Parts: sequence; C-alpha cells; structure tokens
Amino acid sequence: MSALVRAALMMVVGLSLPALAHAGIQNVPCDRPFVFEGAAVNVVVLPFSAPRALASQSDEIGRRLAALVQRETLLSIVSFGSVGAVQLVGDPEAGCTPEVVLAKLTGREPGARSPLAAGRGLVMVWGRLYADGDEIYLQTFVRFLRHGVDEAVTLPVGAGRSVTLRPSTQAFACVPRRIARADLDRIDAAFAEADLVRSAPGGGVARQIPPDVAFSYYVTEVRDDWMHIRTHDGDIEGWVRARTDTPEWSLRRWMPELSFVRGVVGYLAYQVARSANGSAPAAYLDLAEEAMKAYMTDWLTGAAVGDAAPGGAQALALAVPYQLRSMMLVLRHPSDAAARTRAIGWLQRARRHVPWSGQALTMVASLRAFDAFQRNDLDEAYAALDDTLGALGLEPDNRTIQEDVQVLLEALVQRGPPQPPPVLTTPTGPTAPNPATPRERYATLDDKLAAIRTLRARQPAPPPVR
Amino acid sequence: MRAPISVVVAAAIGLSLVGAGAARAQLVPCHGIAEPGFKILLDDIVTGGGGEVSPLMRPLIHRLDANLEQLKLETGLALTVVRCEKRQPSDPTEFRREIVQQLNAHQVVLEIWGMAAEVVDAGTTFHEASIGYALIPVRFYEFNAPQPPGAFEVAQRAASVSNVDALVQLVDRASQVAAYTALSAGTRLMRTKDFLSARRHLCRAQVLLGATSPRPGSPDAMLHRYATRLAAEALDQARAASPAVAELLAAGTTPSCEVTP
Repeated sequence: MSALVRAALMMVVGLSLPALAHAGIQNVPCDRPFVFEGAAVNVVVLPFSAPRALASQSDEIGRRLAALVQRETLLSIVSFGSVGAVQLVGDPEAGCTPEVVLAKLTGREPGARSPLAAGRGLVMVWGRLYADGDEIYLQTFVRFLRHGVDEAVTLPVGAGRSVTLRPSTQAFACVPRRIARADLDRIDAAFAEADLVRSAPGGGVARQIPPDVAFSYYVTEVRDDWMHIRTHDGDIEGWVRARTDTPEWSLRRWMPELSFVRGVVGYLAYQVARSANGSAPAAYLDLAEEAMKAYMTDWLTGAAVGDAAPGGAQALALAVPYQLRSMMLVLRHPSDAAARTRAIGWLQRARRHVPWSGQALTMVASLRAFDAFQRNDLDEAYAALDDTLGALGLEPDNRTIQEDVQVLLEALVQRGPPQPPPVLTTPTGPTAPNPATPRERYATLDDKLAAIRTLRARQPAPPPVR
Repeated sequence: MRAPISVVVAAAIGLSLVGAGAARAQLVPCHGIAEPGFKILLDDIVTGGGGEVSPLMRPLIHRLDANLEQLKLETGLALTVVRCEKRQPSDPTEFRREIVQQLNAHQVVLEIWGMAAEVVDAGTTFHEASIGYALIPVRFYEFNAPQPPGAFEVAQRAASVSNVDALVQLVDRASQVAAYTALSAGTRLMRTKDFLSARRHLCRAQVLLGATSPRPGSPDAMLHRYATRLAAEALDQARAASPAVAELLAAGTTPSCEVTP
C-alpha cells in the first residue's frame, strides 16, 4: 500500500456517520478493509477478478467495474438512511478474497482499518469477469448479514414462544451472464465519466477524482442520476455521475443483481433500525420489495450458462429473494391474513426451487403455523408440524429446524392434547379409522417433545457467529 | 432454460480422446492435500493429441473454477479447493485402491480433471471436452462394487468448431459438482457414524441428482440410486442409534428426501 493511500485512509478512519448520512469511499486497499462505523448498512464491493488459473488481462476492467457498482449502489440506497458503500482494490492472489475480507471486517482476524460494529448490516459483492474472444462472462456473488445477529424474523405462537423465518442461505451465486466485447468499452466510458467531479450535473469539469488514492466522501444531495458529494476533508465538492442509463447500455439492466443488493440493503436497514429503536420506517420495506421484484423480473437477463430450473444450479438466486420478500411482507403487515397467505405462496415457490433445503421447507411450515395460530386453526397447525418434521427428516442436524420443531410442539401442547380418532367397536373387534386430519394422526405430543429436547441437548454447540 | 445435458462415458466416444489420454502424464503427487478439512482437487485441463491449445480450455477452466466458488459459498462447507499443477490422470482406472485410500485419509472428497481436444470425424473438425470426476470416498468404500462408479469421465462434442460456447454450456455442471461433493461427504460421514449429518448431505445429493433427470444407465443415474439408498440407510441407522430420533422421525413418516411441498 502506498504512503499516499495510507495517509488518505488515516483521514477517514474513525469518521462516524451522522443519522441519515450517506457516504462512499473508493480505492480502499483490500488488506486493510474498511466500513463506515456509523452506517446502519455498508455495501463492500471487491474487485471483479479473473480465475486464478488464467493469465488475466481483466484486472483493470475488473477494478473499474467494481467502482461503477459501488457508485451505482450508493445512489440506489440513499433512501435507506445511514448507509455506506466501499470499493476495495487489491489482488485476490494476495488475500483480496471475500473470506479474508469478511473475517477482518467481523473481527475474526486482525487487519480491518475500521471493522463492522455489532448489529450493523453488511452486504458484500464480488465477482468474476472473464473475456474470451468477443465473449465476456460475468458472474456476481452476494453475501448479506448483520454482525452477530441471527438473520431471522420471529413470529410469536403463544406464551413467549416464537417460530422463525430464516433464509436457506445468506450467500449465493447469481446467474452467469454473457456480455459483448463492446460492453467493456462502455464500462471504460462510464468509468471515465464517473471519475469526474463537476460543478453541476452534466456541467463543466471541476476536477478528476485522484486515481489510486482512497477517496472518501459524503453524499449531500441526489438529483436523477447524479450525486452531490463532499470529501471528508472538504477539499473536493461537486456533482458526480453515479448512474449511466441510456437506451443502449445501463449497468443496472446489465447486472439485475444490483436490484437485489438494493433490496437486501433496505431489508437490513429496516432490521437494524428496528433492533435499535423498536421501530423502523415502513417505507424501507416498500422500497426493498420494489427492488426485489425488479430483480426477479430481470434476473435471467443475458444468462449465459447455468441452470435456472427448480433444483438447478442457480436455484438459490431465485429462492432467497422469494424468502426475503416473504420475510419483509410479514414484517410489513404482521396482522394481515391476506399478506400472510401471499407470503406463504412465495415461500412455497422458493421451496420448489430448492427442494433439497430443509430450511426452505421449515420456513413454509413456520409461517403456516403462525398463520394457523393467528386464525386458531389447529388442524392447519398440525399440518405445519408435519412439514417441520419432514424438514427435520431432510436435515436432522439442522439446529434451526430442531428449534422450530420444539417451539411448535410446545405451542401445540399448550393448546391442549391432539384429537386422535375414536376407536370404533365393530363386529370384528375394535378398529381405529384412518385419521381424517393432521391433528388426528397424533395420539400424544409428549413423547415427541421429550425426544426433541433430548436431541437438542445432545447436539454440539453451534459454530461461532459469522 | 436447462440445457439438455447428454453426457456419455468417455470410453464410449471417439478413439481420439482415448488415444490422447494415453499419452498424458501419470498421477503426480499434489501438494496441499495435508491441510485439515474437506478438499476438492482441481487437476490440469490438458489438450488432447499434443497439438494446439484448444480454445475450449480457458473457458472450461473458468467455468470449473466458478462452479467450485459457488459450491463453497452456497454449501457453507469448510471446503478447500486445491489446485494440483501437472497432475493429469489418464483415465478413471488410475484411481487405484491405494491411491484413493491415501486421498480419503486426507479428506479429499472430489478430484476433477479434464481434457479438451479438436477431433476430426468424417472430414469435419469438432471440439470435444472430457471432464473426469473421482468421488474419492465413494470410490474407496465401494471399490469392489460394480456400482456406483466412484470415478468416471463425461464427454461432450460441440456441434461445430465455431460453437465452443455451446459446449461450455453443456459441460457447465454446477449442480452435479454440488451433488458429487454432498454424496462424497455423506458417504464419509456414514463411515464415521455421524448419521444425522450424513443424512443431510445424502438427501442433498439425492435431490440434486434427481433434479437433473439423469439418463438411465448414466453415472449420474447410478449415483442417484446410490444416494437414495444411502440416505435411507442413514435414517435407519440414526433411528437405531437414538430413540429420540426414532420418535421424531418415525418409520413411514419420512421415507424419502424428495418430500412433496
């Protein structure tokens, strides 16, 4: 890292964001990753890289693409209160990998210039850009989390017990996309434009953002595709173009996953605010839903390889957004039965896309159980128990599913014993008719409750929080 | 969207691939396998016939590398991808018992190698790619069993020399790589009697392989049958080992991993 870069970083370290502030920083050396301390959610963009096995000619274009993604993302998330967007620069061969950066930012390894505070949200974006002849392949990867927080929506089912909605995964690969060689030129052109600080949107050039130096700024105003920025030291102030949308080319059309990033930032911002203050702006969820919907409309744009079918290679790239949309809908309308029905439908779609995921099945079951208890429909609650036990059959070592089984059993026991069908006496002797409802399948819940408590007590401690 | 992957065992395709394979180097040792945790070995993707570098090689390596990154990310497995320079298995039979025993002891779950070649058939030049997979625990523990295949190659031929992109799509097998890894991990966990974790991995393998609708008689079809059998065994063993599991997952209520939502 150059002395200039270190000096520039020193200036921004320790800066905390006031409420509702939006900040960005570009060209942060990857070996000392950085997030804005006061931001509720930070988006960290790593350089897009070529595979290790190849002699890459794409390093510079990968860095420029990351810069455009950081800028576009920052513009798209300013609606979510206190947020930051960080662009890292570095070599994957020298440790600029998502695993290493995450370990540093969450304090599992030393080295972060400014680590992520407990409870704050983080979205990491990275990818692979590979040119072969006139074809270019791009694949983006996304991870999202709140530091030290179990990413879940809890739903009370009575007497202090809650079932949970947790997504199948908090990291997935987006659909690999094929783009044209000409798009590289468009990235270059967009980058050249974005690199200029102007006195007015589209107006005269004030100065160029210094290359290879960490460049940190607040966003003070947004106007269409332009952001008004002021550096933390106040030396540079003006308008930068954050988005290039033309009929011919648009980064967000080209990378629909940027809409997912916007959506998940909105979700995390809502959850961070809710945890801190007990409430959060509902508008965050509305905007996040709009973004998720946009992603799901366009997610196959330019798909090159991979398999978007249920159970296919890219199934999580669709299932997780469905799951997050369901979680947001329930958060937004907790008492609305129609919203719950809609959310259950989305979870069932997610489940069809990842049929191997017990977590996806237990999500459906948990929301069905919550809905059933809200409506006092015990038959439906027993049907949800069936599904939760089915999920346990898929992933018997999954602690989340085990917990959901126990909570559901406890909630059902509290509502009274099950109702097995009565034994009938016939001329040939006593006979038990086939159960007509899920509720009638259970003679007692006590044995299952004792069993799940035993199983959970024997399970090893969970791994350390991400 | 799904490409109709029609893989064939390499032994069944043109002699040019086999002949080229015979000229390849042997299994040289791979450094880096002594590290703890599950590992996938990625060997060289070589050019068949010793001629020009196939234009297929670079995109093929790229897709394999991306498949493996996706696998690590989405499974959350403590999985290391070890690049094995100059390691070039000539065919699946090279994975002899003593070799897979050593690899298994080092927690290698999968080894991938490959070859890309230009072949001439009836005066027309085609691109062919052949990717080899060794599911190390399956190969080791089922070494003398006729099925399932623990090591095999799948190959595909592009329709024309200019249609490399279509070929890369056909050999892009992220789902299968995820399934093979899960099957290997589950097979291994069965032997250490961790039946609950084994069940999870084996169910994943069963469902992923089933979702690809493998052609009858293909390696994937045989592996799907094996995963189905082993997943059921894992459940039986888990029930036998723990009355609590037997109570929760009573026989007859959770017979298959392929639960209908």
